[in-house]
Amino acid sequence: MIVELCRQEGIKLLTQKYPYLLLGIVLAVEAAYMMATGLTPAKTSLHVVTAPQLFAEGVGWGLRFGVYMLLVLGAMGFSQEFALGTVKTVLILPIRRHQWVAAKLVALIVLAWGMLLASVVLGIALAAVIVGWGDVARSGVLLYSLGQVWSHLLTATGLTALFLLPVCAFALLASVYFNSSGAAVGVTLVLGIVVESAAEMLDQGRWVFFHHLHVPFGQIVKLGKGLPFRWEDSLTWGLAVGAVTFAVFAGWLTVRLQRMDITE
Amino acid sequence: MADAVLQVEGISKRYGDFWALKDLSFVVRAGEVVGFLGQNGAGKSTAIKILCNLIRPTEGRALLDGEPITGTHRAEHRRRLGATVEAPRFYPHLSGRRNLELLARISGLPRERVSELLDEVGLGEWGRERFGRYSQGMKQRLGLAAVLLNRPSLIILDEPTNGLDLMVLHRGRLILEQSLAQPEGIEAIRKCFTDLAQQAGAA
Repeated sequence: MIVELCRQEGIKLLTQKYPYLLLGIVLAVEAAYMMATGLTPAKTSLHVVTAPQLFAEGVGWGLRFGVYMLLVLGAMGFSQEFALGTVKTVLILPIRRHQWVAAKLVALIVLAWGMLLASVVLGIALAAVIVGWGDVARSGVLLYSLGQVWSHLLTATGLTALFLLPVCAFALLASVYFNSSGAAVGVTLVLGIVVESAAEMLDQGRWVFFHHLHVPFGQIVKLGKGLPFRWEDSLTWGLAVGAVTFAVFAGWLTVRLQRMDITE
Repeated sequence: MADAVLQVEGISKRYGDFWALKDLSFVVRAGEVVGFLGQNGAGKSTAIKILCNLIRPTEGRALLDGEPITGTHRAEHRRRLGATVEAPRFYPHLSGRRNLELLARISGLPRERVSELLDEVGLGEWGRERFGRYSQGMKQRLGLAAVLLNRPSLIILDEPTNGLDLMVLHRGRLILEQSLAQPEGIEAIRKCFTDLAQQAGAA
């Protein structure tokens, strides 16, 4: 039953809000394309800028927009149901509130992962076509084999997928606090920008995708300078923070909807 | 009260300093059709929301089949109580039939009843049409079919005649009368002025 609910919520989201997802994908790929076309032949021939770096900096940077698209989609999740009055129809049916929360959350996460996968696949294809896809070398010295590049890209994509869990839960949580989807979207976007800026200022959040993607290259430089590996850049830290923040937001969202009066 | 299906005992609802509803008490017995009337702002919608377990009363309690509504598990409560709201909404990308089948599946009910109900509310030939293409009246009819799907012991119809034409209104009355004649009995609380005179006392 819950699977069927998730499926229907997913179809509803996809059929009504697909432009946001498409925009997220297009912006990610566009960022990668702009970086690729900005490369000079000299740089590419010396392998100073390689396909993995293009992917990391281009797609990773572009996916920030994708995250904001998800925040918009999630923020409309419940607030739009309140605004349209559909919440009453659903909650007078024999559907448990936590099942509805789970269905909306799973549907949003699946679409988010779909957007990520599409961006990654298109980004890799674009990088391969424009710059080439191979070992990472500098001045004839092998820094990273292609196998290691793939391994790292998969890890980074996995971490990105994990990072999207708290993003989706956070956006849906914000949506239950507003009766107007416009207000929910506005507040969620502002909070997203504030959190991102704070993380940048404090040099935190390197475990999330757009930072983690740089880590191997960054670490190579750091190790070359004799600097220690930062524990907050580690995979363990990324997994722990991602899982805990998701659990907190998802739990908060469920409890909030369970207890709230549906006054609309 | 042995035959009381719904027993409302002094329910009130306060939002801050404002009392949206104050000290409402009434009883609905098996087989009764009850009109629920009042001036604008009297608290009718608030009372209905409390009975539908959408909001919690500040004071008082309501018993459905002898059990407190707020104490009953919400899903179990909704199996016993059917309700329509002003503008029923279902998945717009699904047909009326698929929406009812999904609801039946969620409620653990056989899907066979879906065809029968679609015919009863006059949507037999529109069953395969997407809900998003339904007119307001057709949406209301599907809402009524969804309410009857569960065979609840209490039905609450909030503004049930919005968007319905005369023929459908007549059909709706027949459906309710047939439902009332069933052994298990169905009670209805209605907030509809036009139908009230004909409906009240029909059981």
